[in-house]
Amino acid sequence: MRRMSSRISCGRDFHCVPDINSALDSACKAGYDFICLPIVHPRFRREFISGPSKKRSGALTRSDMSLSSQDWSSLIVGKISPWLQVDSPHLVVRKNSEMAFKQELMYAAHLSMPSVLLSIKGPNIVNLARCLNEHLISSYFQQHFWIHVPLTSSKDQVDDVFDNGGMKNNIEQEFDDTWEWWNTFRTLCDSNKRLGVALELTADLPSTVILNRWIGEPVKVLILSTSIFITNKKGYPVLSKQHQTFVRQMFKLDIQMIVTGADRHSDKGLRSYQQYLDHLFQTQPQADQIGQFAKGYEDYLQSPLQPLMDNLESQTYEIFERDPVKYSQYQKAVYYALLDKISESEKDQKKIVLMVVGAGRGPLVRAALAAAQQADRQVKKLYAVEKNPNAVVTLENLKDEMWGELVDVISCDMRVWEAPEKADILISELLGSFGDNELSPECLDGAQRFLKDDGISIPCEYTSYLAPLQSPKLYNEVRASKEKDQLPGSPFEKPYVVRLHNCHVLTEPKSVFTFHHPNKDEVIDNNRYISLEFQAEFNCVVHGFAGYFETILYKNITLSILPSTHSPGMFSWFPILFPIKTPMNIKAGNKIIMDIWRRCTDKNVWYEWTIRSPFPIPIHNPKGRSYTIGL
Amino acid sequence: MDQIPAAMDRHLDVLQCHAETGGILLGASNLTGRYWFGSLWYYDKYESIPDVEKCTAGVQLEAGITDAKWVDSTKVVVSLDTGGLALWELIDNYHTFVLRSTAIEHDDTVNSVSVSSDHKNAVSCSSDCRIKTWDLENLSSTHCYRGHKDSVVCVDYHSKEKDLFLSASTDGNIILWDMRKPKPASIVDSRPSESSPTCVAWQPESNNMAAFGDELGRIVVKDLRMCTESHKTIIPHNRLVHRLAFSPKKPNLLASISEDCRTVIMSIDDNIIKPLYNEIKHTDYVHGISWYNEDIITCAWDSNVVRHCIQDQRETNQSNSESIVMEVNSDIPDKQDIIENTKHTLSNESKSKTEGKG
Repeated sequence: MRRMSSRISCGRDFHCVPDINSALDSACKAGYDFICLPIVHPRFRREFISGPSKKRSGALTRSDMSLSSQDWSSLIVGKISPWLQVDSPHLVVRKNSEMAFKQELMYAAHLSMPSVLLSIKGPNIVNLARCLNEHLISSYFQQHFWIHVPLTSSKDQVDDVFDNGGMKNNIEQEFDDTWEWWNTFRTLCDSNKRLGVALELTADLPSTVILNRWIGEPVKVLILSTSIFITNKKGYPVLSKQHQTFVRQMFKLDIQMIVTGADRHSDKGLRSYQQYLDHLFQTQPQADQIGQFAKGYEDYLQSPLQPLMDNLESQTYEIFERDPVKYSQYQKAVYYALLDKISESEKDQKKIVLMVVGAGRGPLVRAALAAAQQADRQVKKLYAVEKNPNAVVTLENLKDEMWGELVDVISCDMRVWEAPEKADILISELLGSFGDNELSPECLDGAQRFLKDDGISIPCEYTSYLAPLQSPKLYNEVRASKEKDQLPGSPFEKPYVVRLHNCHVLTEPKSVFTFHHPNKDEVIDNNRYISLEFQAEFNCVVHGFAGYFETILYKNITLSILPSTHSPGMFSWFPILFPIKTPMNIKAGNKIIMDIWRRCTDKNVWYEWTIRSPFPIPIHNPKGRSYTIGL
Repeated sequence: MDQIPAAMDRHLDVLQCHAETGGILLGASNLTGRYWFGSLWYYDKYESIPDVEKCTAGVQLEAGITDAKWVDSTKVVVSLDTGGLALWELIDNYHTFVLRSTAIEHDDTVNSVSVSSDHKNAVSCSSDCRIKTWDLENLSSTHCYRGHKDSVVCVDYHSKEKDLFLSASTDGNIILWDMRKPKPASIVDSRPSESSPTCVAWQPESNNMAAFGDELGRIVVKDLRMCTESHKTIIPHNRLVHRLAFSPKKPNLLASISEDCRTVIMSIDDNIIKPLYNEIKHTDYVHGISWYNEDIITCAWDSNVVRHCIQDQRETNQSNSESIVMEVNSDIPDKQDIIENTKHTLSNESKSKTEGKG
């Protein structure tokens, strides 16, 4: 769950700390919340292999008594020495660096520093990953490791100062994608949850496509050098528009900030950087209605509801009845359907029969009756069918108090109920985040028996959508959601309803399965199969697929949770996530081909899914072994 | 005299003799312990170093010192761990250090500083990948360049051409900077896939010869006008070469110090690099080196200062020089045996005075 804070947490980075107490004092006085400092003096190289210096005596670094353990464990982020070259091709350099690295990790653990910062400067990081991974899996202390990655490589930050052709070749080389370094590092460490990104903003920012990919990564900190700040008219440090936009975008990941580099606005003091960043944080646009509703649910996995098998609880009804948009759309749909059913000239003669199937605690009944009143059309009878006996209690009470004879409450499953008469309009809200995943097709197929031949179903059509997504965070959440008595890997064989947050949806979603109601097919078959092709525009990793739906209630009255057409303010549905067991690395230009099936038997319905290209993976959830929806 | 610190910092990092006055600057840092400060000292003769009692002037610095160069007979420019430079002047007949100006403009440790041949400018390089040039009149920065892709470890001005300097970086490149050009940089040596350079020095009296040391102990001497293939290589060390120093009086003599604790002196004549002296006289990384007339003096993290006399070895230890691998135009061997030489470890007479600061 997301931590709320009223101000940005901002740290000051020191490369040189002659006196730890004065460093801490000065940073605190300038408004900073924590400091980053070298675990060992950055020039204090050590020899572990051979030679006279191996026998050096004396302390490695300053004593743990320099600060209270409380301060070490809450205010200090330790930095690994810059001279270590754990991936050097030279045996002696590498071996020596490995041992020094281990020594510093151990001391950082001894001090209980909350986080340790280490830099990756290029793609050559495999041995570093191995060394850190060993430390990660062998230490019980839950220290976090922030991997310092710049947004552009140092090669791409070099000034245009070269006279000869020596550098030309380098400049013509393609852009270094620093995300690739991190992706390799994270993957090698099996996306360990204790690894986060400390992303350094560089003077030039890469393209938006490259930047957006970071939103799916576990970015914990943004590192801002004082050198990327510009000076405003009053002499204060500020960020360029481009930088502001990116920083604001990252705020949603609940990041912290680190200010590094020399004080370049010494007349205003170091405080002015922190104040500016906090100002950016305070003046960010308020979360929208959905965002506010979803607070605390970001990236939190929920099993999809099974309202057919389970009876919903009062709380659940209450949350969904609060949706400001859904019921007004239903009311509009019923309104237009009524106008189409009974023309103005017939309105005094004809009366209409309405059925609400899955009436719950009555919001659709209310909406339908309000629509009739608004349309000035007469209702002969409204049948409110509900299979949950607990909700029927509410319905019966409402009938007594408000609706009277106009409404008949039917405590029965719509699939077996024998209606006394046929309906003109059948109203239901049986849709899940993936449209058909709460078995609306099966229910409505059963209920359409008592719909007149020219009757209307609201909704009359719905379509599900999928798009590949990248999110190590969600991958870890799925991996961690082990339940008892489950097959290994089965958490990856079921969909989850989740407020997608620390995640990057890689392409536009594509339509998957469509259902129409009433279904006039000779033989009704709700099995489905489709192969979807997505084009990767950039190198990325697929951790699963984000699912959405769109429905036509009646004519042009729709509901949608597709990002591009999302009904404004509607919070009844979060997206759905179809995970995959093994994250798949994708190259720019690759076609991601996903296959998904909807399988039905008399007893239940389930999905199976797989990827065939660029690399095939086993079919997930075969025969519904890990997840089915009961009929 | 009040400013003289009570004790010497443990890690002796810098040694600079003035060619004319013979006065010696010593820079020391404390890289462990509670406080990571540094200090700057002036001695009028070699024999007094590093005795705190025998210095003529000394001053505590706000952080560790990484390099110091004489600007003239009384002024010295100092580079610091803070990312700053400081210009100190010795007054009262070398008895007091006065801070003339200071500037902290680098974002990381300043690794080295060098003074131009006309004594008007300085150049500094830092782990922040940047190089800065300075007007020594008021220590204001004149240019800032990001030409390297990684930490810049060493800079050296040409001994006669006031607009030329070299820089060496962990990115594997040696860059020649010519301040007369609008685009001043040109790469004169590049080996990013091999070992990275750690220090660089121009040969005095020559226009185009320079030497580089690297992280594996190799030293390359080359004519910068020539293509990369024509160079002479010697591997006198088996660890990082920290500094190189050509003799100002005999420019064919080159001295090197290293983290293998050795001090090496070699002669460069035409196509041959001839080792003259190779000794382990320190017990920890050797960081400071300076020519002192015919000899060189070195200081190290073992808190000692040693005088090395080429003649000594020629007479007493002729065989040692044969163990040095010397090659021309070839790559470094994969592995090199380490020759530990404990015979010459000096007694540690001044150690007791160097401990327990702070």
